Amino acid sequence: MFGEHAAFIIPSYLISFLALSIATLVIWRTYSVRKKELARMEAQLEKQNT
Amino acid sequence: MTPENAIHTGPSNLWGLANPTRFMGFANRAIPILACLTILLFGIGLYLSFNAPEDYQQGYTVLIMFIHVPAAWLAMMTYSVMSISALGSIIWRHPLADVSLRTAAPLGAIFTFLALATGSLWGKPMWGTWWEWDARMTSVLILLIIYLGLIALSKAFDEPSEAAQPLAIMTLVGFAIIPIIKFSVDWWNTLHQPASVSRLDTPAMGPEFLYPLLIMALAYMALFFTLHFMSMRNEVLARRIRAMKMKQARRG
Amino acid sequence: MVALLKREVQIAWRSGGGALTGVLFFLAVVTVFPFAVGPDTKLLSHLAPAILWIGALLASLLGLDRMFAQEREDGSLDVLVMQGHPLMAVFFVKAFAHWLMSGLPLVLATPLFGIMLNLSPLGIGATMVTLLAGTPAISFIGAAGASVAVKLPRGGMLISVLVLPLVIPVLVFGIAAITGALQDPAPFTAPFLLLCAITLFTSVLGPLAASVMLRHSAD
Repeated sequence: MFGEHAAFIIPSYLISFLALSIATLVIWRTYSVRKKELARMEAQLEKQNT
Repeated sequence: MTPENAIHTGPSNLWGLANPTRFMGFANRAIPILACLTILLFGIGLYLSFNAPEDYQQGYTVLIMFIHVPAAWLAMMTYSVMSISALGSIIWRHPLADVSLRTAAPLGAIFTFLALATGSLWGKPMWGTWWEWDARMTSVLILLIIYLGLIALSKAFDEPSEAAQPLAIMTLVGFAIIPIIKFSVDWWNTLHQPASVSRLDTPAMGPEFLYPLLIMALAYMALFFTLHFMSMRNEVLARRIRAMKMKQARRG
Repeated sequence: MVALLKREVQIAWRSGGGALTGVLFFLAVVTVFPFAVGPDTKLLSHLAPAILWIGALLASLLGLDRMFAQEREDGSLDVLVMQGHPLMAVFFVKAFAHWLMSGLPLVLATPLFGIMLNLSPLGIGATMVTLLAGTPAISFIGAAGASVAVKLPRGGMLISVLVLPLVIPVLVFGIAAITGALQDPAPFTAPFLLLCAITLFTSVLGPLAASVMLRHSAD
């Protein structure tokens, strides 16, 4: 499909896609985890203050 | 009711009320926009790339250039961003500068790694070897080592704020020496000129190659800023959590 | 300043194990190479400049941890900072003293190791001269790396990793100069002058970085 060098073109795109999307997913997941954690701690603080 | 008011703790007393909050607000608005821009640019870039004609000399492998060159450019641009952040960290002790610096480093390492990996995959059909010690690839390899060293430095300190100055200083020392490294690698390479001239130089660039390349480069840039702001947001959250934990520990 | 230099050299001399260990490590590297590449003296003499330079480079890197070892132990870092001398000069002296005790011994050990590797007298001379001009650069850049990792208990390896990429130009031009001395068409002067230029540049950059680092940590 991409000529005789498909064996190099496809892995190049694949590894670029994988590396960048895994980075994005990890960063996104870290965000949700920390957001929840912070919300939990703030709620706890509110409860302690009342 | 934000926890900023509760945070007077921590060694970096510039964790004032305004800066992190303002940044978080800015980030929350900017990130979705940047993300959309990234997707749009990648869409256009990939479409243009795959519709580019075969290169006269390289055939379809020129497709690899559209992801190799932007990765290499971003590897260098990230270090520039880090250097500017490092200046902010040293001169103004701005805590967001430190956050910017340490979150950019892993991204820079990823782009550098991708530049090397795609460069290797581009090189094999071109030269027949998986790796050539040509000037450009060797310089990029050294840059990767510098990135990894800075990441290791950032993780070596117990207290994250203690790492701010060391990181900033070593980033700037690297910034001063990287041109010398590049110069010396070029010198070294001409001394040991291999038989085949490096073909990882961008081929003669007609517009049918230039436009896809530039759009892909912009796409990579947009992706960097998206991920960078997301990472900075994460780091600010982490520091808030840390500060709250310390406050709770003191309450007993 | 001279008093400071004398004091630094005295301290380094007292923990003089460092100089010897460096030379010993240099010897170890030189010894190990023939086992890896074979005892063919012609090959060894061809590789000798590279082996000597790599040995000296690695030995210098490993010795960087010692630069602020004294200060780390007795906490006299703040004293250094508050002494009133211009900070950059203080760290220049410190790095220079460190080189006297770690880099210079390597230069002096080179003739013996060069003979072991069947290097010609001209080659030995060229190697000594380039090491003399280049190893100070490692100490100067090493000052920046060492100052940054002062507070870290096991900073030695990290310092090496941080400094190694930065001193690659020193290696490149050192070897290029030796090649220029040994082979006729190749130039000696140009790479040698570049080597000296790098050392001069790092003699400013390294102490500057160290002074910024340790001025901050004294605040």
